[in-house]
Amino acid sequence: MIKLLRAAAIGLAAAAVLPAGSAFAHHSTAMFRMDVNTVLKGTIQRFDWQNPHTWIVFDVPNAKGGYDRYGIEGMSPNYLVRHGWTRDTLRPGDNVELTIHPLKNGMMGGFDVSVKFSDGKVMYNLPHGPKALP
Amino acid sequence: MLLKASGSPAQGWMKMSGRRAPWLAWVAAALGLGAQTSVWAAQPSGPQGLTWASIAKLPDWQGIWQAHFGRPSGAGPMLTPRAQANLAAYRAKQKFGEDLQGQTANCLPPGMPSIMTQPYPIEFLFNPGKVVILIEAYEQERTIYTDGRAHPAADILTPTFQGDSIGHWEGDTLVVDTVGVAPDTGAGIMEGVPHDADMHIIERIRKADRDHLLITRTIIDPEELVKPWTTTLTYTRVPGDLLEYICEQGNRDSADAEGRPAERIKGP
Repeated sequence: MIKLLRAAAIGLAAAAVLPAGSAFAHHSTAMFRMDVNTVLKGTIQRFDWQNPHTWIVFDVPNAKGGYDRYGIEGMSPNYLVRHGWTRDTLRPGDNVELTIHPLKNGMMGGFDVSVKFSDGKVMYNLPHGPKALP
Repeated sequence: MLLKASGSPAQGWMKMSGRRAPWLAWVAAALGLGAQTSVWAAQPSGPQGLTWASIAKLPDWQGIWQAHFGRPSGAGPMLTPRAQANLAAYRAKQKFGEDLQGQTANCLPPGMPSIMTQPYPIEFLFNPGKVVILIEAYEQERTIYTDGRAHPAADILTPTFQGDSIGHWEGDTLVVDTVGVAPDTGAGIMEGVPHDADMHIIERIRKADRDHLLITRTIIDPEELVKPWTTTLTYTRVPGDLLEYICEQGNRDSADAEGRPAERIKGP
């Protein structure tokens, strides 16, 4: 019986199996184009420092002379505070470049990968690098 | 009716290994034969933390511990044909936009075993007869009863997100036995493979060195797994304390009943 079961079973390679539950956020990344980095240059309107995700309201100048207002999700403040961020890392009025993984549905949103400040300093939101560990 | 320890702790544990003798349970475990596997097959040794004086002799697990993800240690799970079918159906649904988002997007905690592999720290608190694991993600806790009690009888055991956990110490290792995890919680054994009501999880937890804690986890679920699946995850001690995590505070994400994701971009 066990032999039959073994013959019928497929063993999954360890590398194909991540721990159940996202190692990223309280939800999956399915909404975002994780293979695309979009750079947005604009002005911080609001930085909400709360769980489960920090939230950036970001105005980007558009071709019509106005602004496109983006809503960008970030890592939990619990994660960010352990990686050098504070609630004041982004302040209303800051002119920065956000690199985001955009929403698949084309709406003005995405997940923040990193922030580049006007002095050139870069801070990462999303875990990055080959061993991107929280 | 909860079975209580009687006589010496060792006698109590022997009695509570179920209908089979402990040695049979060990053989059953070796063959991966299902939910009757008893963690009590191995005898407790060393201080058991039933009193504060005994707790003072337990290993020092102070601090907060962060799981490390990366290449999992151990082989992957060997799925039964039924589990493979579940996984294939799950992946097929994803192509149609369903099952892309679990109920954690609606701030339901994932339950065992996923609650132990979240990207936020955990902390161990010792009390006489129990070890409590505080889990920052979703502000969860697991209570592991080390006072010698058995799991509640099947007819009164209410399935829960965390399950019912009992444990004992074998020297520097806390051995935890968990049953009674509600089958409709979380990501299951792995994403796309829901677990059954009789899923049985055994964890062996010990410190490898001052800054590293290892949890070797065995999942036994004969309907989904051909044989028990064992992996070891390393947790690193990180500075600071656990922080609040109220998921509902600012949640903009959601999943409908079919697992279709949505995000509220506008508004507060």
